[in-house]
Amino acid sequence: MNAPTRERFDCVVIGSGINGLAAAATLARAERRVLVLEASEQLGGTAAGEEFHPGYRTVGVHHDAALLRPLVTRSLDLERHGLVLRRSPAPTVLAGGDGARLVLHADADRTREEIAAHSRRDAESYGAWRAQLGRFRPIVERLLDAPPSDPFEADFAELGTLAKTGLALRLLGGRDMTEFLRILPMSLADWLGGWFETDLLAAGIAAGGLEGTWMGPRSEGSVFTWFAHEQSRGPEAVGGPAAVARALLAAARASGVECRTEAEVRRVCVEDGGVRGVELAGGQHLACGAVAAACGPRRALLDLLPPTALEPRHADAAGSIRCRGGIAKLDVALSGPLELAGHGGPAVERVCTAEGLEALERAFDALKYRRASERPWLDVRVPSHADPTLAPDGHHVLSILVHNAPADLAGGWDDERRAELTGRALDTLTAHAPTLPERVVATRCTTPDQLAERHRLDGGHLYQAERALDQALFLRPNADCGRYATPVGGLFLCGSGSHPPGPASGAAGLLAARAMLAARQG
Amino acid sequence: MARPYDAIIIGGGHNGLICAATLARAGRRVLVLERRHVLGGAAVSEEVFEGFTFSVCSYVVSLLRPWIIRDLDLARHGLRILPLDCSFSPLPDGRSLARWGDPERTRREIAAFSPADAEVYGEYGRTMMQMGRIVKPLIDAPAPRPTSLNPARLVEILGHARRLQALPRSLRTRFLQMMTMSAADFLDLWFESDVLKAPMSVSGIIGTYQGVRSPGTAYVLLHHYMGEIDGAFRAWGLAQGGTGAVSLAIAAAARAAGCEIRTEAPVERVLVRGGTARGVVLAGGEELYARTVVSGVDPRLTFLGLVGAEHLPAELCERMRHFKLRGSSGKVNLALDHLPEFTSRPGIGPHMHGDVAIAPSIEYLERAFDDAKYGEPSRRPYINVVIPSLSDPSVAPPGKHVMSCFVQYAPYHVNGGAETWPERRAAFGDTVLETLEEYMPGLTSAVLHRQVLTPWDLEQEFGLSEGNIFHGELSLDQLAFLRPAPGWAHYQTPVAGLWMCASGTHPGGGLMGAPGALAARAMLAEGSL
Repeated sequence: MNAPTRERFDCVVIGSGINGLAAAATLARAERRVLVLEASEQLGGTAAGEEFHPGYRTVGVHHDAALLRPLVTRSLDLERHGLVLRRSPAPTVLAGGDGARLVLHADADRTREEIAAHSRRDAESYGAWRAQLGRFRPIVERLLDAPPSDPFEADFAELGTLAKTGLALRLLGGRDMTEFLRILPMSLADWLGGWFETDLLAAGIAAGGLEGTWMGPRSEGSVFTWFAHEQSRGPEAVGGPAAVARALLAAARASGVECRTEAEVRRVCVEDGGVRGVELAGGQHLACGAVAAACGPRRALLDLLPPTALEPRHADAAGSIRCRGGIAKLDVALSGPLELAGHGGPAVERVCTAEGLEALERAFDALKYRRASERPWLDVRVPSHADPTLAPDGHHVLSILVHNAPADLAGGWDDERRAELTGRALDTLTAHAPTLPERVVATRCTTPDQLAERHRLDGGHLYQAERALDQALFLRPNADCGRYATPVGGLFLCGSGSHPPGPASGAAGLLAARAMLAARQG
Repeated sequence: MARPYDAIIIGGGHNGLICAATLARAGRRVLVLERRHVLGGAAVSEEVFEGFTFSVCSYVVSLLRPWIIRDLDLARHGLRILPLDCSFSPLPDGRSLARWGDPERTRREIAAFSPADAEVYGEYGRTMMQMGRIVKPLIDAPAPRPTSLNPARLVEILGHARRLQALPRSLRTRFLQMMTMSAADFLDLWFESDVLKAPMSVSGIIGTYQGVRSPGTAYVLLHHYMGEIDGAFRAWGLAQGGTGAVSLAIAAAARAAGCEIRTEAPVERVLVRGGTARGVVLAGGEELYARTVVSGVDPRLTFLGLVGAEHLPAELCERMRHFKLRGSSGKVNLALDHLPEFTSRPGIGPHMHGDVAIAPSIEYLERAFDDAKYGEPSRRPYINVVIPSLSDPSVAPPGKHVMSCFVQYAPYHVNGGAETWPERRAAFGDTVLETLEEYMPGLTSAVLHRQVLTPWDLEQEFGLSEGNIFHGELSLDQLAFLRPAPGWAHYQTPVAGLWMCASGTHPGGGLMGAPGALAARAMLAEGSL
């Protein structure tokens, strides 16, 4: 058989991260011929597990595998493709100043007992707070698992969906509905401060909601981003995002998806306002009717499209997407487990060192002035307990997200400043885990500027576009592209910068693929 | 016993007086009780030092609803607005920017910093005015009721939605961005020059405990354009005789309609019997009776101070305890022997007739907020200066001047506790003078007298809880159907016969007058009065 000079696919997916693979698998299951192009030598994007030190592997840059939407697991049969889920997630240890400790369990009653040691009043509030969250959750999940509708441009079918959401909201009862609408635009500090007096508890709850934002707990609207993040948690995948990417890859390949590595896209080719194919860095041209860009929206719209493909107003809007990265990644190889002083019970798998709301706010202040936080707060995971293959026998790996470290650090990043940041992070943790220094085998610090370069992430931002009220739902990443389609026919966005946000969620990829199929462009 | 009044209004601020005047003109027998010796509440003029009259708190008129001016015939009752033609921003490096009523002149000024910004400035103003037209029906009518199943209410909400839907998509997007973004981010969408953006951004933070980078501050930018779209008078002006003249004109309108007004009549509590408000008790023990009692003070003071938790649902009391007041600003009023010049634009020129913003950069403003966030007054605050004696010579002796300085941030909850503010007052005044001295050398030596009002003073002297000039922060969770509390956003309260009419109710603070007038209309419509 003669090889065709120009290969042709129904759809090319740019980027092989969790969202890209979810999009590819979804399209392939609908009988589309799909090609995934990955610029690096390894599939998985930011979720590609890497050996960062001989014998020690990461679970990806991001490490929270509970953020994978169950919708994706279900729709793509990921458990059949090797994904193992833990139904009961590991508890989170909140480690505050002066050795203060509080453990949050999945089980509300156990958590209440923990909190009672700090404050009886908070222990009581906690029950009522969890109950209210439980009532709000179905509405949040409904929004997360559906393509966002612009209520002002909805067609008949969408109006129906919107009406259903409105009805669900109304069925909460007048009081809960008003409360939900009241708190969403609030700041986490005001909201949680109204519930809890224990600062360590408020900070531990708040911290997750700030990931991927350019906000502190005092910023209005941080409650909204908290809900979108914390209430998207489902069962946790063993092996972290890397395991999710492997399962997605298996599912995609099983449906006939082809993947190529070291295939960097240089240009999306456009003719007569529509996508005709992509051109690789090596000059090769691939013809296709549609492109699903799992890379960042700015990269897709401003770097990959020919300069004349977008009208100036659309180009301006793309340039206004905010994506200021503020998280550094620290991988640590350990010769033993992470042991917290005075902490009995099962192995520690999750630690959050947010001491209080003010500490979170000060860490954010650093970002505003392009400094790395002097007292960073850490989101620490020990994935090697659930997945011992990540490290040699008896050894462990720590995966730490260090908040906050700006991509555009004043004066720029260099090895010295990375070492300084690593030192600060390890000191913070050592205050709680005195045995840590003697167990450290190796460390690797990846700052946002490096994320930008290695993973071609706009602004070094893991979420490709900041999470904020004005970059949410049908405004994510902006109003032009809020429903996955872009102003260029056949070009769709399917990454973390689209709704719902998150490098490990997969839902943006899945929903984008469905939108493509619905538009008969796939 | 005297015949009961139809309504007793607690507080002779502008909203209380507007409410009183509206009720009196509808034929009701109304009594206004003011705690201080002067009327006006925070919209007050006082001769603080002999020969020098200050707009002690509120110092410019920009939002007063034109229909209120018309309905109450305030011009006939003595109200004169003197337009402010210029917004001037001096910079520490000797440059300066003045924005004028004349667009062409403004364009030239901005072009010196950024030609691109100069081009887009006019379009920005037009867009803001278009968006103001969307918001206007919301502030001129009672708050929508999203939880109501009453078809009439649903139609109301659909009406608001339809107005949004009728907009071109690009404008609607801008509107949604404006409702959710920070003032700084929103201005970044338009402009590049910090020198322009900083003084523009401050209208987003005035009176709030937020910074220009705090999400949710962009929509307050719109307020600046609200007056202009009405076309009744210029957006930004001074009342002749000081802001108190606005209150006095309203009081004159009220009296002309038969309203009775008593000053130095502090209300101690609302008389509640059988769950119904029957009247008020004055500090001296005098009891006054009325079919309706209307509170013109802020919601927390109303409920927890004047009514008392024992007469209220526990949930509302809890909400009031968490009601965000958090005053963030102070006021320094200066009596000047003569007027020094700005280094950056010498001469006593027309640029000094408007308002002067000490806001050299976004970062300056954000750092000012950072100090306040952690409980300290800003080391270098945002200051809005107005020199009313340049336009209105009646407020100062010949050749002398009065200078009004609005200062932010001065957090009510200062480290050490709000009650330590009196010890910090002098230092606070010094900071303001030191800051201004950098732009206007010789100011300190020109000062004959100074009056320094900290948020603590605003609370103690003017009855503003936590010194909040808006009776409650204007954040999304405290606006419209949530102001001041869910379920009680339509001027009524859980106590029968007790109503609210001031800035703590929809549509909120500022010298706008809409809450007072809308409350009065609601009372009349309800028919109990």
